[in-house]
Amino acid sequence: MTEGQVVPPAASPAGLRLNVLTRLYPAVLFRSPVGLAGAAILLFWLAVAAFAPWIAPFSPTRSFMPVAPMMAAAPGGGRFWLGTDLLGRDLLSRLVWGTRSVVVYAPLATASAYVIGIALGLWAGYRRGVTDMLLSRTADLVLAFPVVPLYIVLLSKLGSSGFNIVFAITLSTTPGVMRIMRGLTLDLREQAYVAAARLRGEGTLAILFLEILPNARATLIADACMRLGYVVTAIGTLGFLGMGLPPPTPDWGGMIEEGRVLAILFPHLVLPPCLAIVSLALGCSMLADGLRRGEGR
Amino acid sequence: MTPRTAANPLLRIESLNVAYRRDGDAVPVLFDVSLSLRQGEALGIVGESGSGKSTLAMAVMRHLGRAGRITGGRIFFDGVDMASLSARELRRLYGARIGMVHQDAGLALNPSMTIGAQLTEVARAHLGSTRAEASDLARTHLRSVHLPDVDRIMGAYPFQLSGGQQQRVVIAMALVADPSLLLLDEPTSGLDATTATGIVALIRTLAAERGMAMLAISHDLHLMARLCDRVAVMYAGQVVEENRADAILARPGHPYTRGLLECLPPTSGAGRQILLPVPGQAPSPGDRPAGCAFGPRCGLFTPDPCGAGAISLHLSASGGLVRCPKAGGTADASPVRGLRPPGPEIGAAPVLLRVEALGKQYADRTGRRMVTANEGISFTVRRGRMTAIVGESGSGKSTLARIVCGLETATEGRLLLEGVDIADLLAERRTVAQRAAVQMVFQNTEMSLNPAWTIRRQIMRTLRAAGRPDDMGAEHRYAQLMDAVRLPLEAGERRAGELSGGQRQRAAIARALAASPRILVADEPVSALDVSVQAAVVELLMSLSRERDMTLVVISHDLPLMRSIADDLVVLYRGRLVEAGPAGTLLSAPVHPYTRALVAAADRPATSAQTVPDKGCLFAPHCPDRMEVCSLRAPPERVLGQDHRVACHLPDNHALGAFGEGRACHGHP
Repeated sequence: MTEGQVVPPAASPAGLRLNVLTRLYPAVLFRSPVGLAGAAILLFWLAVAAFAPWIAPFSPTRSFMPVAPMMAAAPGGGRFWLGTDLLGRDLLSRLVWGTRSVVVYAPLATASAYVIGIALGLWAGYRRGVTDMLLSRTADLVLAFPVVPLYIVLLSKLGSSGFNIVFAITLSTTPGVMRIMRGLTLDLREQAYVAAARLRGEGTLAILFLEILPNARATLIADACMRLGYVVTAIGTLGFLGMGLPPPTPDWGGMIEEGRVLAILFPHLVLPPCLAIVSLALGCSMLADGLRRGEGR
Repeated sequence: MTPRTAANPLLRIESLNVAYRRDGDAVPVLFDVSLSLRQGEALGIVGESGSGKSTLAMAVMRHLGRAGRITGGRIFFDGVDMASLSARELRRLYGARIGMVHQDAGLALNPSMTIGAQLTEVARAHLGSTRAEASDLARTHLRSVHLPDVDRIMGAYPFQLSGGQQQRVVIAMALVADPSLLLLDEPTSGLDATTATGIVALIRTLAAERGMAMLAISHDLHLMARLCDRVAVMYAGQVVEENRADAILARPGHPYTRGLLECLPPTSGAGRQILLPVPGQAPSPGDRPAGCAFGPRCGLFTPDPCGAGAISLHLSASGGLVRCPKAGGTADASPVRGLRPPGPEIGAAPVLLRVEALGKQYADRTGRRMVTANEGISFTVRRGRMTAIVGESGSGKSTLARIVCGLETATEGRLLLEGVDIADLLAERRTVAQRAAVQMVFQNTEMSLNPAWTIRRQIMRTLRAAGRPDDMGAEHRYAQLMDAVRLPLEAGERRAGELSGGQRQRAAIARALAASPRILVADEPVSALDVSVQAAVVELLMSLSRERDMTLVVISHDLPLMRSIADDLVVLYRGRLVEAGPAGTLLSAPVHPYTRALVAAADRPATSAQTVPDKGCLFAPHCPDRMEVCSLRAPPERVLGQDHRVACHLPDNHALGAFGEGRACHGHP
């Protein structure tokens, strides 16, 4: 009702440019310090993963058993900044190399869940009726299943590998994505521009992917960031359960599991990988928050 | 009765300046607004979106939000500078001495509390009444706004009331603490014309009885003139004219005020007059031209006095204040409007679309009950004759439009497009030619164009879908279309969000035209637009219809507008046909009591959701000529003349008495 909050149509070309710019995410992000911090955290881990060979002081699998004392503690000082693990491997190097698996598999799993979830959600929301009922009930079924047992069953059956991790996480994430897309579609399909597209004879696929999907973009991108954070945690959980990448590949969840027994005596064994997972997941949700706030304006 | 002689005004606004912060910049939205309001006086503020009228009211209520700030000037209430009051004192002032009636009554009421609970809460908070006193007070006020069956209303939730009843409740709520100033924000928006008339009369009476002053805000100049003693017209953050209500209508001084009056259809009388649009659009805040803000749209503009510097308010010929250096010379020029040429004679116009006993039922949300949106609707659309489908909200007119276009299918009856029944065919299942033949322009200009794509892309896709694959031809036709709707080509490269409402509607019209339709169905094509751009869009539609041999079917609740443009009228009430026929016949000699009420815009009983009869005539509970048979049997449809149908038990119009004059608007049968 207060007119100042409505951005009036810009008449001048300069005003127009500005309007177009604010559609781009970097610009949206700069208004939100939280989102910016989230983006910085993500960029940090991406850089760590990309430059792991140069950052890590040692090979992640090399054991310094004879040199390092048994159950090396002592983070800080000396050659091992974060100390070594039970097998005498440099923890910092394992942490740095471990970034790679998260940074590859988490986005991969999220993306595949999104591709499938969006397609199913669009279809269910646009078709409604029986199609919607079947898809939604199936989604509810998967969602009702506790995640951890689902992972255990799937991965112990299929064996743990990068592909199977992505498969298991996609399976558990897709229903949520589908529900969001379905809800958005139910709303967007009633917009007049969809009616106009029907009146000019557009096919169903064109309506779904050209008329409806582009207008769900903002919500979906923010949600994807959020979900990426969950997936990071999920991958950590898998590693902790011993279902992550098979050893000796460094893996954050696996590192926590290895140090778990002696965590009280040697907290440095588990704290760094824990903090790494938390910071990455938090960075994702902070970025999502920033995007959502920027959009909400 | 000159406005400025008031010795001790109740509300005095002194050169108020307000700015909003946007992306770090302060954008000024109010410039030197000075107004005063005496005890018991009613002042109406008229302006379009962006004129600053709502900001003005919000500044008085000290409710500008985080982004808004008063950058200059003062507001005195009863002699006290409001800036000097603490938040606590202000809160005591609002509600107790200043009441507010918000724009949308449905949203102003708490949906989870009963009306009684909400009203008594006000009394207890502001007057410190006991529970029993508060309840009595609430009942008294509900009675004073002429609500029937006060006990039922006290226990009802807002959604159980009709829009008119909700508005009355909101007014009662504002009156509970007996304020000396009542602020009204668009008090009748969202209400049907007949209901609005009742609300205006009610507010006037209440204010007069209590000696209460009113500050009302609306985009509707005629409404403000009916409701208020004085009217101030705002444009781009400034008061451009202020005068007595009758004087401002009779002798508008500012070219903008005159433009606002000329672009509206006459409120009474038979007038098929051509509307005179105000060219261009209002500047956005922070984008005001130097000198007169209205200059770029003004026919009298000359660089010297108008564009040179700030224009001040001065006394006008008709005794008010006006902010125009040219006001003196041409103030008496009365609007000259041409007459609109009528469409072809009924006999000469072939039938394009015949609607026969069309009905639409759908399952309600629970899926158990069937809801009837349309039933037994028959009328004829003839080539070249503009057909207007009128009715209040809930009359099923939009459903009817969607069926005609193929966005929904009918559940009964036939829809003959040049003899071929297409009632069962969704747009997807119609042939390319059938689909292209009927196109639609939508009400909501913001959502009728896909915000993700440029205008050009959407028009081009429609052109290609209409079966012209060659790019050169499509490019050429695109340029022609943009020219036809008078949009510059560069506007096509933009997205809907970057255009004004009027431009968006032009683009939507161009997109519909791209299919070369024979029939263009327009659902409330201008109701979402500012008054001064409405006329331009209406005239554009009319001229396109003539030039392109395209028959218009317009859905509207705006009878004054429809009567100035329509050749044929179809009147619907609660999904049923009331009367259909040539506009001339229906307007000069309406047969159905409901048509008569509409044409006279007379007051009638408030139609509440509870009183829909399950059989017989649906209008019967509100009909002044109700007979015994009306509540027993559905009225038969009679054909009275060529294309003239009426659904009523009354045998013919000669037997009727005068339509219920002086009938109270609250009586239940």
